[in-house]
Amino acid sequence: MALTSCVLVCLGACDSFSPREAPPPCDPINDPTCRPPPDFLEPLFPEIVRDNIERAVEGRTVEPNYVRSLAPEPEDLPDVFFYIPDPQAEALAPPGFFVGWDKGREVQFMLTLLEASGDSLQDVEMTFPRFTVDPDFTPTTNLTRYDVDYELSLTYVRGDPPQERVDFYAGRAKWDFIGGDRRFWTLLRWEDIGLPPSSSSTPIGTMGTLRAFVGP
Amino acid sequence: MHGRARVVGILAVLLGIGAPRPSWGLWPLDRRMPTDSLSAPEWDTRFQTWKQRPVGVPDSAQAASATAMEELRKATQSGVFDSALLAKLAKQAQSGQLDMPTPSAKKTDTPTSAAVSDSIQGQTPGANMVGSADSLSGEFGAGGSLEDSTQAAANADVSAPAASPFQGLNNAVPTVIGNRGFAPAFSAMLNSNNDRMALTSSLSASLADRSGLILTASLGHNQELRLSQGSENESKNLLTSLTLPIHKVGLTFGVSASDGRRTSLGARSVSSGRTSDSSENKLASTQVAFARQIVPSLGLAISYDRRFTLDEQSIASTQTSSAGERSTQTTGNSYGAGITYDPAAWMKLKGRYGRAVNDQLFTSPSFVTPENPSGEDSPPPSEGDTISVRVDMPLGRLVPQLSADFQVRRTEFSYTDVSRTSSGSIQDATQFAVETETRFSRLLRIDGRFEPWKFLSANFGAELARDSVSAALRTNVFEDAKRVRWTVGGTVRYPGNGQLRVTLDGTRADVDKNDPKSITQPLNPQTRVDESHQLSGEILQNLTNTMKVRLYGNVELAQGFYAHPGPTGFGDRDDLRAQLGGDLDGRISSKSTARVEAYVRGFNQAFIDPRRSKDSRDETEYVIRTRFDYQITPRVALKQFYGLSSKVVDETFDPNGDTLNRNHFLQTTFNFQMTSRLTLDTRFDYRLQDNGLYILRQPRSPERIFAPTARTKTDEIALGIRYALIQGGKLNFVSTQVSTREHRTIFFNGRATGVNVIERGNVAMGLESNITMGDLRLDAKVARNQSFNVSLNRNVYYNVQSTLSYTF
Repeated sequence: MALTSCVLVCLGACDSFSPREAPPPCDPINDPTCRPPPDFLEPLFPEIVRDNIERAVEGRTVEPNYVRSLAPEPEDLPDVFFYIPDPQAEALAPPGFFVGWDKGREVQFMLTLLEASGDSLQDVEMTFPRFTVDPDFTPTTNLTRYDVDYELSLTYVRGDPPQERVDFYAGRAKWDFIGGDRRFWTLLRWEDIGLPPSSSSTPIGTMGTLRAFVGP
Repeated sequence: MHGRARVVGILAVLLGIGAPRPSWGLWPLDRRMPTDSLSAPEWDTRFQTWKQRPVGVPDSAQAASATAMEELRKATQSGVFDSALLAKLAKQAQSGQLDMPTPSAKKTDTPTSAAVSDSIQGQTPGANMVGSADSLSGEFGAGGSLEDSTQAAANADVSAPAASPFQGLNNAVPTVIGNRGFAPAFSAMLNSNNDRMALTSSLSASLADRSGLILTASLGHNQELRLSQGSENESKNLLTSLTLPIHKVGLTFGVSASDGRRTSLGARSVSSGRTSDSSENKLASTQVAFARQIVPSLGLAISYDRRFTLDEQSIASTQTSSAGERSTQTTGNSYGAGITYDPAAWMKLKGRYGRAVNDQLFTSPSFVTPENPSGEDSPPPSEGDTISVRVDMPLGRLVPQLSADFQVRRTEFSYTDVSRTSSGSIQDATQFAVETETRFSRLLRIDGRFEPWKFLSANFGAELARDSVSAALRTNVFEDAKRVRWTVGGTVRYPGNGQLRVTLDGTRADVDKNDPKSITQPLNPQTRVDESHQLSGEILQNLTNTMKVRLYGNVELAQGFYAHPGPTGFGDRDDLRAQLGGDLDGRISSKSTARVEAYVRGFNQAFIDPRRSKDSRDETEYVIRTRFDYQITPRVALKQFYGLSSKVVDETFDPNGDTLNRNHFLQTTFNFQMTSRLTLDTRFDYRLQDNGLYILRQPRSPERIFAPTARTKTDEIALGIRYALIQGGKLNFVSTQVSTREHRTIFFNGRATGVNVIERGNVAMGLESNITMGDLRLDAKVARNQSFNVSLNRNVYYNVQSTLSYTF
């Protein structure tokens, strides 16, 4: 009887596991509001992960492009993305703010920054003036480390009358990539070291500082 | 052992409170260890249990406890211990019989208790000894009131001033502090690798007597250097605490104080200097707690904590305009009460209430105005309340578990944040403002288990919760979430140790992110309803005495329904996951075992907005893995691990973008203990990974072909040798050599356009030592690493890890 009940419950539940159908994508030629997300390139190399991250941030498509660039992907793998702030960012944030900064918080931070920052974010630009293998790190086939300099420009329109303002962030970081054995590299660890020796503009701080400002 | 006893005895006699007055003498508690012939693991287990028992047990009013302690006292006087006595004491300590007045810690299953303990434990030892947050909240929850009510962020604000001084010092403060008669200790640790050098040292002392009085003091120092960046972090910490229990009346007093300083020098840049940050955190806290079993079925606990903290911070940067100072001075009280009512076997009631109020004074040059030249800001006090009730009502054999929880938490707390515009975005990173955040959480949970027959059991649960968060300045913090969770499950057991388990559960979260205060973005695109439900089943069956099988399957649908469009459309998404698999475990002979694992997994992701639906895709993955272990002789073992997997990704609206990834690997390890001193380990890894497009052979053709884009073939050989120069782990020579060759082939239009061969290797040779001489312990590892990466470096690194500890 119990078995029958289980089977009946399962059968009854089957119908509720039908997902919605995805509609056909919009056509940018016929629909001026259509801005298709950038393609997600197969991350065969860490450089492609960097490109995917850049395109996800600039295209403001946290889901799925940014999400798929962070470990674990798929989500049942053991290694989980984590972020380590630079001292200045840690000092600016409330105590304990960066403790346990994992993939979930990183995605929420990006969603808040790019979709719900409370202001009119007009344009986002991200560049990587430096992206080289860390010579001091002994890589494996599955794990490697890069020295990264990045720059992020956020262009807002604020105030009344509206005025354009650009917030500029830059940092020097260590990025660990994992997934070489599957040829699906993802970003495992982002450690901000501090500001880069030189940058195209005066930065407010690193993206650690930006995380402290934005939340969650 | 006898030597240590003599030292303690001499110390005790010198202090004049030794053997003649054993009931008040300094008692070397953790030196009372079994001297019989227990094996090391048993000995360690019992010792750990013994160490963790509540302190101050001799004065317990309970007869069982008194009897046991009398035996302990006699054993201490005679210096003879037997394992039976230790086991008995450990059992009583675990069951709480040795410490009736002070309920044992962490018996609650409320989700907040761990966070409460974590937030304070290791940071304010004095508070823990009193039990305001740890022991009492576990059973009665009188203490920890504000921490309970504020969750992580509130913990950070209200209790973190105490926490901050000790961040990064966990290694420096011995965890055994406070369990000894008189136990000064020194510990130093050096850790150096390629780019980082860290030195940690601490000097600590604790004084405990059998009544439970504990006095601790610790001085710690941490220093970390990043050689390539030129960055440096340094912290110094001092902490003291005193705990005084009066068990006869169930009272405990505690005082603790600490001071921590931290300085950071950021990465050095050639052109324009670097950032420096310094902070200082001070804490003074006094606690009193009362816990008593009023009548056999009624227990009561009350606690009070008064604390003062001062946090100062200054940031200076020669690179940017970022510079600022801020300080927070907090004076507060927290108090709480808890009660347990256990009138009958079918009912147990627990309730607790806590409240904390903190007055805060914020100071920063950012606050300076003509009207406020001192730059001080004192907002309304931060405060929090928590109340929780739990009822357990097992209804006989048919319903062995039925419980209900109800919790309410509310907090309003302030902190200095960077100044913002009215819309919540950053106005000036160098200017600070006082932010006030409000949180309000309610939770009702019901769980139960139903067992109509021995072969059938069912469990059920439901949870309703609502969490509301808002902030004065940061409007994007706003969230009002209503959550529902439910679960139903059943287990059928049948002969042959087999069982079938089915679980159906679901969640729904209605998340409102529309802050009514937000002017520029009143409709937040993160406002949504999340729904998910999952059905899972599992069959476990022993096929023979040495072989068992597990079959399982699950399907989960997670859906997001978004209320407002974001910059790239609505975030609506459906994720359907399904998996079907099986494991087979078996022992082939007395020397060999094998395991086979196989599963198919599907993941369908659909984006519902046409502006995002281009990313919709379906994934299917097939995996099979086998493992084989063969113990050829007692000294020789062989293991093999083989795996094969294939993943197809179908792009819903772009068939030309479909991909196929497949890989297989074989790993063989061989372990040979050649002599009692010499061990040899070898490993061979082979991996082949193919990535490519999986496209139609011809338009409208049902047949698909694999068009490779990349192939990676990896061979890796590793050889490890360990030779015991001095046996017993005292000194080992260790050598590891790893050599890897990786062939990368890139294809374009099906043709190989480039082959890249990467060879790399690493040779590490060094010494490992674990030396214990009396109370001196040294763990050290020194290794010389040389990498052979043709494309990178041939550098030589010396890695050092060393820990020296001495307990006087």
